Amino acid sequence: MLELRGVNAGYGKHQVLFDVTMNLKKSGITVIIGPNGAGKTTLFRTIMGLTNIYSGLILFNDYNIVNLKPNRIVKLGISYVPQRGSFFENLTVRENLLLGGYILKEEERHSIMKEVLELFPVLARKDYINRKASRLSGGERKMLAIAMGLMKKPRLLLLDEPTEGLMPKLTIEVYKKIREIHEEMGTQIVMTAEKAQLSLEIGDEAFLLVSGQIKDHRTTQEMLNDPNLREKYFGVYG
Amino acid sequence: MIPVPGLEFYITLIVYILVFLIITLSYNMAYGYTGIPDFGRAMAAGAGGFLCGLLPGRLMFYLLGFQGDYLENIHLVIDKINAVLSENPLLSIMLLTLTVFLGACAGGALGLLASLPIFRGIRLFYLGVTLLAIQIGFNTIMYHWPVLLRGELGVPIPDPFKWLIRYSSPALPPGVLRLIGIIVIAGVVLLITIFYLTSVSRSPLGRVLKAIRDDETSVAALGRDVRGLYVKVMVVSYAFTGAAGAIFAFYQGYVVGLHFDRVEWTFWPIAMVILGGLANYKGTAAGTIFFITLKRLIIFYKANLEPILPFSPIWLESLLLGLILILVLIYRPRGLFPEKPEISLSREEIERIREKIKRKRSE
Amino acid sequence: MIPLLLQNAIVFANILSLMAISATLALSKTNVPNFAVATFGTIGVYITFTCVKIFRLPLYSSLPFCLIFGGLIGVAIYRLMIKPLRERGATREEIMIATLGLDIFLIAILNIYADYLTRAFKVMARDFTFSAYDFSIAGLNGVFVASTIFFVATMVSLHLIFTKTSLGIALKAMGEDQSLAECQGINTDILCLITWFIVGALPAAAGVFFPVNWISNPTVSLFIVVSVFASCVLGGFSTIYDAAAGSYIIAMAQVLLIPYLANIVGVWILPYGFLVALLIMILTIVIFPKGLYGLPWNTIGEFLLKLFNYVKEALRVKA
Repeated sequence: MLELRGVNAGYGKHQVLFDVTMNLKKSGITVIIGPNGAGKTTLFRTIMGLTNIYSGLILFNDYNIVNLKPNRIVKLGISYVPQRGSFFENLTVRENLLLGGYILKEEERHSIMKEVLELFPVLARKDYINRKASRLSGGERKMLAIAMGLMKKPRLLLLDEPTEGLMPKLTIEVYKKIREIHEEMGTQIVMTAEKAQLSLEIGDEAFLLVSGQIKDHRTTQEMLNDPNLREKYFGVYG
Repeated sequence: MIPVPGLEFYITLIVYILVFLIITLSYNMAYGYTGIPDFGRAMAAGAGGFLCGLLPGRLMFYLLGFQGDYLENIHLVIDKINAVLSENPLLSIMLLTLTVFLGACAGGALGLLASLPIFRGIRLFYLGVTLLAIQIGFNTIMYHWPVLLRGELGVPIPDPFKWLIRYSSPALPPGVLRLIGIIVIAGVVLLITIFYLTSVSRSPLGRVLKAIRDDETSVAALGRDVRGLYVKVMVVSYAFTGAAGAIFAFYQGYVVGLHFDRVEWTFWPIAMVILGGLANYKGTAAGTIFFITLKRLIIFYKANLEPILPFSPIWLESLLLGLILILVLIYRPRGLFPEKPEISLSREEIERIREKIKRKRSE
Repeated sequence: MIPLLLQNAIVFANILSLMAISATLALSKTNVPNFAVATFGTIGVYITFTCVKIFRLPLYSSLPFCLIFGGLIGVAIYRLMIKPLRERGATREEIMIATLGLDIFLIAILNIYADYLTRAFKVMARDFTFSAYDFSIAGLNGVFVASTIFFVATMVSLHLIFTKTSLGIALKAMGEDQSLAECQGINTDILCLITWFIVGALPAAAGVFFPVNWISNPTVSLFIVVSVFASCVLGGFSTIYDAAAGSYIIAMAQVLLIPYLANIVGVWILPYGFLVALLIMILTIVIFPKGLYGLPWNTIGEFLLKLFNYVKEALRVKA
């Protein structure tokens, strides 16, 4: 579905990704793990056309998306939920969701919103839906961000640190939700995570990104059972 | 026939270059180091220049014990003062030095005002708008308040270079010695400016200033008095500009409230600094010399340009200024001579040290 | 019957509003502090001049030409200057200096155009007014009626666009975070072009009304730009409503207050009219830097309501 071939990318003259090659199979949840500053966010931004790509190919369903503008890439079916600033603070929850489905037709947008709100009942509450998004709590923010990503009916959903800054209970809840989304809607999901263990548990395959290079690619089970990786990258948090 | 520039052209050119070098170099210090695009800079030059119209004439008027209304008889009074000054080189030099010094003080005072805490912490864009508007207000008051500079009539300024005429020879065009006098005083002020700037850029202060520009909060967190430094830079920078304004007013011998306008004294200097490269003195100097020469040549060849251009050459200057500002910002945003990043050790050295540490660790 | 002075004040307020709305849109939607906004108005003045003096059209029929040409100029400026600047990652300060350069450039072009008009058509293309071309209905000046109708129509249509269409919400989103808006599939490039069409069109339309009441020449923008920015700052540079409100306050202060003061302290105060705008701007920046937009309107409303109830109560007790 998505394939990167020898991608070198970065910001201006500052290169972050070095010769990244990865092939995401159809179906499944892919987890990208790696330490702070490894380039996980840059990887997503590169796929979305938000960085400078020096060389390499990015193929989405065998169609080269390098040098496309983000709004074109979204229309092809890739939806990106950034780590921070993933929604518009000054707009209401409803406006944010409708914007999430900007590429859809008017009627479709409203029917999709109904579906998405069923997945996230907390946002559907009357007093929430017309509230300014800046007034949401940490967990609700993440939910809104993911909901906005889903509003595009994406074929591929990129989630950057979907559980960053959440307390453990909420983290588990969000991961469950992600699994649910994948199983119910059949959306392929790629996500990054610093708290690797939990994300690996719900994922299918995983890539290890270190210093802008892919160092490892196995199934999540194999990664979880590798004591070497465990010590180095999973941290105390588990 | 295309005329060839003569001696007077070159000497006037030097006057302009020296005066504007003082202005752009000090502007560069404030802008390049603090990152504040100061759109009110013409005010600083105006402070010195208008002071020239206000102070030395009146001072001599009282010193020489003249009677009557100063402004009403100003031409007569200034003629008499000039007669006294031409006999009296020492008095002339004292008057000149005093006025330029006070012009610097007036500029410095404005710098102090412009760095008041109320202008800090507001968005840079608002600061730009405000300083620009204050500068327009300043010029308006100078122009419309007849007590100051006689409104649209303007005032003549005593000429502290009159005594030089005695040493002139018939071989020289008239007025050249006067220009040389101006070059000397401008040169002295420029040397002081350069001395100050080099001593700052080599000192820890320069480094701190650059750090303030890059990240003010961290500098404050390191225990540096950001506010104090900021005021210091603004005051010194405005003071040099004020002195330059005073010198230019002496050069003109006349000042009207419309002089020291924002195009000539704010936007052109900004263009010169930007073309040269921020926080880079060589670049700024090159930019200044280039632009001033260009401008003087346009004025000199105005009559020859007239038939070539499809429009009046009066507009050529502002046309160029606008275009150059836009094009430089699009294509050469860091100037022709960009600021070099300061790395205390070379890349290779850092890599070598890193290797060494790695090897030690593995041992 | 509306006194002439008040009519003039409202005309000036309408003109300022159109420019302040343009400057506010440029900053809040596309992050461009546009110093050339008042000169966009002068472009409108000269489009009107061309229509009226060269093509002999009725004064107010030049309005559509101003809107279209002004808008196209706005679009061209966005394409040729703003977009390349943003693509290379220019800071807001650099863009601000670039618009200053643009201002100087446009004024030079207008001067050249005025020269050309004078030479080619033997007309007075500097220091002119169009007061002779105006009409009057029921004791009201034509320019007062026309500018007010145009201003209200602009406000209503912008209000509808910004609140009722998905384009409006998309614009709001773009103003808040451009790259995030792009990630929602919004084509920000087209939105910027639309915004800049409005940014160019509105001041140009104001250029139709300005020369009716005030003497115009290519550099007239220098005297208006302070008032425009004072209006924007007072409004808070956020929404079109605040910009209009700020403009009305500034215009009233400038056109009504100064002649009133001149009666008391003397006519010498007249040239300092725009200093009132400057003063209001500085006070705004110092006291409530977020402008009218940032004032706690809920609290103020509650307070007024309480005050109102209190007064009502007191009156009833008295009765």
